[in-house]
Amino acid sequence: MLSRLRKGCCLHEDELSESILNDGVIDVDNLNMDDVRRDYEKVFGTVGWLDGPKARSLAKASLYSSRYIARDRYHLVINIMKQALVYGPDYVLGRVSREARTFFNRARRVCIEISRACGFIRLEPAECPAGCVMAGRVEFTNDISDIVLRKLSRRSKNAPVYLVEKDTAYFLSGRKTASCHVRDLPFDLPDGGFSEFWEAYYDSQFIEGRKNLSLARKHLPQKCWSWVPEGKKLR
Amino acid sequence: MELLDKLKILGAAAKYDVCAATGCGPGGSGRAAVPAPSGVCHSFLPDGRCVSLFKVLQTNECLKDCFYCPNRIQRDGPRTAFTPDELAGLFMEFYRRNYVEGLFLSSGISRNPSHTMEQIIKTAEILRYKHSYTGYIHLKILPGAGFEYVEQAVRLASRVSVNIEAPTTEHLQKLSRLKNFREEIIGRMKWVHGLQQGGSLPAGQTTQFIVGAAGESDSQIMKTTVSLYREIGMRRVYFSAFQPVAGTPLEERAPTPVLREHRLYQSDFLLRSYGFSLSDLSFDTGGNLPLDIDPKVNFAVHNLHLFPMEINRASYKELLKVPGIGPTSARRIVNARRNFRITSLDELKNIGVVVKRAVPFIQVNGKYRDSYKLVQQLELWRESHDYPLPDNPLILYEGSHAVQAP
Repeated sequence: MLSRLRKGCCLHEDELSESILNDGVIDVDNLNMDDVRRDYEKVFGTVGWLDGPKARSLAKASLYSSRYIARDRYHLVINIMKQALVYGPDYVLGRVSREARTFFNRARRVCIEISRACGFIRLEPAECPAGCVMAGRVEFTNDISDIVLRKLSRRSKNAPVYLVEKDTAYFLSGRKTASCHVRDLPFDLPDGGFSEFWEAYYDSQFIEGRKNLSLARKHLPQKCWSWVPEGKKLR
Repeated sequence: MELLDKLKILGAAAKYDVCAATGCGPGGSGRAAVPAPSGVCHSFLPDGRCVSLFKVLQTNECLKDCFYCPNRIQRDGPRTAFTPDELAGLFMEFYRRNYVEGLFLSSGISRNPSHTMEQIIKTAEILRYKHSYTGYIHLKILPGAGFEYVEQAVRLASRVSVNIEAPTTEHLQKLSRLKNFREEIIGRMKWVHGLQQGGSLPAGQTTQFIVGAAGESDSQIMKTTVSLYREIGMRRVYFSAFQPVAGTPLEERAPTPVLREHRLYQSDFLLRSYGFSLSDLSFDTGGNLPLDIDPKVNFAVHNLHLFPMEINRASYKELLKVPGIGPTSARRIVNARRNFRITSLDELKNIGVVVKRAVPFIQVNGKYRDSYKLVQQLELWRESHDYPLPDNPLILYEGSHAVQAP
């Protein structure tokens, strides 16, 4: 619920029927924070922490946890909100219960995937009629394409970023994330001609006396090897 | 020389310098970027080290004679240099393709320190003003650089560093006949400290020790580290285990174990984030940290009178002394127990405590674990000769402080 209020996720009708207030279907697109707070206070007493940093931490974790691909992802978020209201936010933020631990573990895994994506996605410049764009191929496990796109776009201020996942390309249209089929893109996907320089630099940095391939593989897992030119060196 | 060849030579020449942040946040409007708590890593080397910065030398020509350094004046090898335009352009190509997050620019000393500092500063100016780059730049202050160059570097960079290399003048003399510890190194650090008071240099100042090259002990390194934090406001101190380089006077010396570097980092974190003081660290008779035991467990084993600690009563500072409990889990424990009493190890595990490490040193809701297991664990940790002998072990009885076994 917090996540929805923070515009982070969308709940479906069947998931909402199991929600905290248990009053049937709620129109999630017309939720009002004050109404929600009043309803909560009727059931759980004072919920002043909803205005504070603890609610923000919880909302952030809900956003990431709700992006984790699992059938019960929204159900878990709702359970956690219920625990926060019953036992207080510290109970959940302290990961005391098993559900809270799962909730934060999922949020952490999504964060790790976002962090890896922001690090390992390689962009290449491409020319299109509107000017230069930066395009990169991706493969995500969780539902994070819009988050990664926004992060990379902040970094590349002068050239719009396109992320291509299988046959779908994601890009920012104004402030919203849009998508299209790859064949409809106004440019050809670049082939990564700069990787020679990167490989030369990468090879120059390795210290033989400290070789630790298992540590490198732990940080740069196999599923990311196809994203980066140096992936084949870790085999 | 082709740009690609220069990149190979000057990249390789910079690889031993570990004095770098692992990432940075986006720069604000006109402000330089600051290091983020958890930086974005863009790759990992086969040695497991993260690549987040484009780490390179402006030139590998050098007038200094550091005995461990691949760029020392007496060593044969190809010498080259980037022009500021070449280096700035190359970095921007890497940056826009998302290969790196920032620049780490060091250099040998070509002609004189002023000339090389001028080239370094010109590169940074091209990035900041021509390419409007607001991200992370780490500049190396060369020993002997003039005040005006230090001032400009502080103005342009997110972070600067002067490598200290050794803990004392005597130790530095074993590594270089031409470097002056007090004036060229500590003197420049003090200049930077003075200049950053004005609000520039958002990521502060760092330095690096070459560990094991000058025969120094860990206690000497840690003593100097503490002074650097206290007196010069150093943001981070880095430790680089010495690796012999062919063609240098120290090529026959054995490499320093990476584990020693690891123990120094652990101790450094205890000093910076866990409220430990230098006297809390235990060194062996040679003044080194034991390699076979974590410094925090070592502290706990040497201070058994402080344990077992009741999780529901111990203060935040006390919790930080328990092995397996870090600042994050200690904060979570303190916050959670305001409304809730912690009653089981499972709850501690959920909170993030490394229960296996913590359990010999804690009580949970008045309960204590089976002492037999604890003795076994303590014995495992007590392999080093400077701990009490196995025939007279310290035993933790249930619910009591440590006593000598009958």
